[in-house]
Amino acid sequence: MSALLSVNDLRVRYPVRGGFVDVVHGVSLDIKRGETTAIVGESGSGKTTLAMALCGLAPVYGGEVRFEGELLQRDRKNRLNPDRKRVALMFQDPVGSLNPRMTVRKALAEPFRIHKVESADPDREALGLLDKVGLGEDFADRYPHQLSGGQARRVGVARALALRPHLLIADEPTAGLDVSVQGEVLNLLSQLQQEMGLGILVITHNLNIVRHVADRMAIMYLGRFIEQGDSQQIFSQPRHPYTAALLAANPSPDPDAQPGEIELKGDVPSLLQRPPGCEFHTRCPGVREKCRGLFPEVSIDGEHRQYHCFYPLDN
Amino acid sequence: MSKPRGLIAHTWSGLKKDPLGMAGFVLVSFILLLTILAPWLAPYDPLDVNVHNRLSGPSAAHWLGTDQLGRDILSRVLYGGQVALKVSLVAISVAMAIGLLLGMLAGLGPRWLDRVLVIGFDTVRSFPTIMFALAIVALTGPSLNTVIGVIIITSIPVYARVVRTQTRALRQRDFILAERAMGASTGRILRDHVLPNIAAPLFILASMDVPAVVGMEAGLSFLGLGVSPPTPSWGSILNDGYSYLRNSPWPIIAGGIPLIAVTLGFTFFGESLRDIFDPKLRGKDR
Repeated sequence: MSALLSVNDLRVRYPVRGGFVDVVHGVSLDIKRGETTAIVGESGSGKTTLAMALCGLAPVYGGEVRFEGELLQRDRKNRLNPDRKRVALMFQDPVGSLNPRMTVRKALAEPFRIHKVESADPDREALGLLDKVGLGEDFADRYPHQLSGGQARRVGVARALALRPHLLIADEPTAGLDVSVQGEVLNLLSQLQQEMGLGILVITHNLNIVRHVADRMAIMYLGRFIEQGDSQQIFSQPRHPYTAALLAANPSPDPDAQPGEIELKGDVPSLLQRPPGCEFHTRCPGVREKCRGLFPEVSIDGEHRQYHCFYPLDN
Repeated sequence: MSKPRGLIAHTWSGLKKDPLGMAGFVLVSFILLLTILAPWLAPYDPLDVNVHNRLSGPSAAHWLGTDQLGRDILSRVLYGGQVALKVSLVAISVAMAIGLLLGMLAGLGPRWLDRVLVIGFDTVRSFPTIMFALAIVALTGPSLNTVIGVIIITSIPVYARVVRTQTRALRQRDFILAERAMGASTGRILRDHVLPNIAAPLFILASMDVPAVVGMEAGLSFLGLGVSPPTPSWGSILNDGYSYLRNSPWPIIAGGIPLIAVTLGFTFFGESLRDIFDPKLRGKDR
């Protein structure tokens, strides 16, 4: 089965004083229709930049992206140019991603107006969308500052899904929402996913969300995927020590659960000075001599399970 | 702000909480009313000469006295307001429109264009306005249009810089990026998303700019670079009065008071508007 989105060795680099910084350093990823893939990583690991690059908001330095089998071309500024009717992006800040001087009705009509969808009456569509995400018609004439975070997020979901895209890229869809609202938003997304056969790429640092929604996951560290695969498998059997440390650091609701044994020390190294060899060796509890000098190429374990480590954990 | 309300209602409720701003608003409305109604309010033709009654003080017939040619000063002040109003209306709206265009180009366009435009703005701003005006008048001769032209050219950079800064700040905001991700064209982003979000600071700037423009027109007319006699302007009234200050102080007082009133009124009103619309400054100094 061909993938909805197929990313091969994508790179994003920005010029800095005296050189370049590679923010996304060769990532590969397949997303299928109806599937949710999560990208997990600490702040600064390049998750958001990857999302922006896929939506044509950040310049791409290398690699290929295919959407529904079609190779995406780059524009003059090296940005990818996906079909914006079929790829939708949701930003982290639910209120900030709405124009403060535009009513909800107008914001929801935007996608129809931008793409001049002839069959639709934008204002009528806006009301239909509001209903779909569980907001009443009386929200139509509100401004973003008159919405709560959860309501603004629902409006964001409605706008992203207005043109029935095939792929939704959601950057921290639950950031800033309290836990019950997080659940509502995630359930709304899964429900709409089932209705529309949508492929979703979720970017988050919240592992509970990944556990709840993701079929597959990728763990990002310094712009690379150090491990990716089936999310249930990764949760039960992390291969890469960084993955294990992340999972161990995640608080568990079970009071009897043992706290994780692996603890991360030190800070994330600067992207400007990537450590030689395995880039995680500066913080890895199981570091050995080989890791300091050699970069571990990808190891493949079972179907679609990949990681970059010389000494994977066995559990 | 919990319940929905429009821009005007928001402004009004903000003004009600700010006595100085309200005073400014009342003063501004009063001046505008007097100026617009000048042809009906003025007791005499401002150009009517009566040499038998020159440089008289206030009286029942001439509330503000008469000037060196016996013209009624009150009528001249009222008509002078029309000149001031016309100059500030035309100059500010043209300067704002051009500044808006250039500022958005600089703020959203490629880096080289931004550099070129900013150097242009700074070059224009580096001329002393009066010297610049003198040079232009030397080329074209004094007229009201020259005054308007000079004010437009020297004001464009002020508006353009504000627009440029605001546009640059906006272009990295999530809602603009979201529009880009949805595939909106640059023109659409500018018209529907940038413009409505920079309009408020722009109008605040314009209202604070009125006194400067009125003062500039008066200054240039005072120097004889503006309106040509016998057209009344607050600047030329001051100039007439200045020459005959020993004989009568009334022309100077009558020409000066509206200038002071315009300056105070628009400044208070503009500052109040700024406090209402700029959340970063709101509540800071009270």
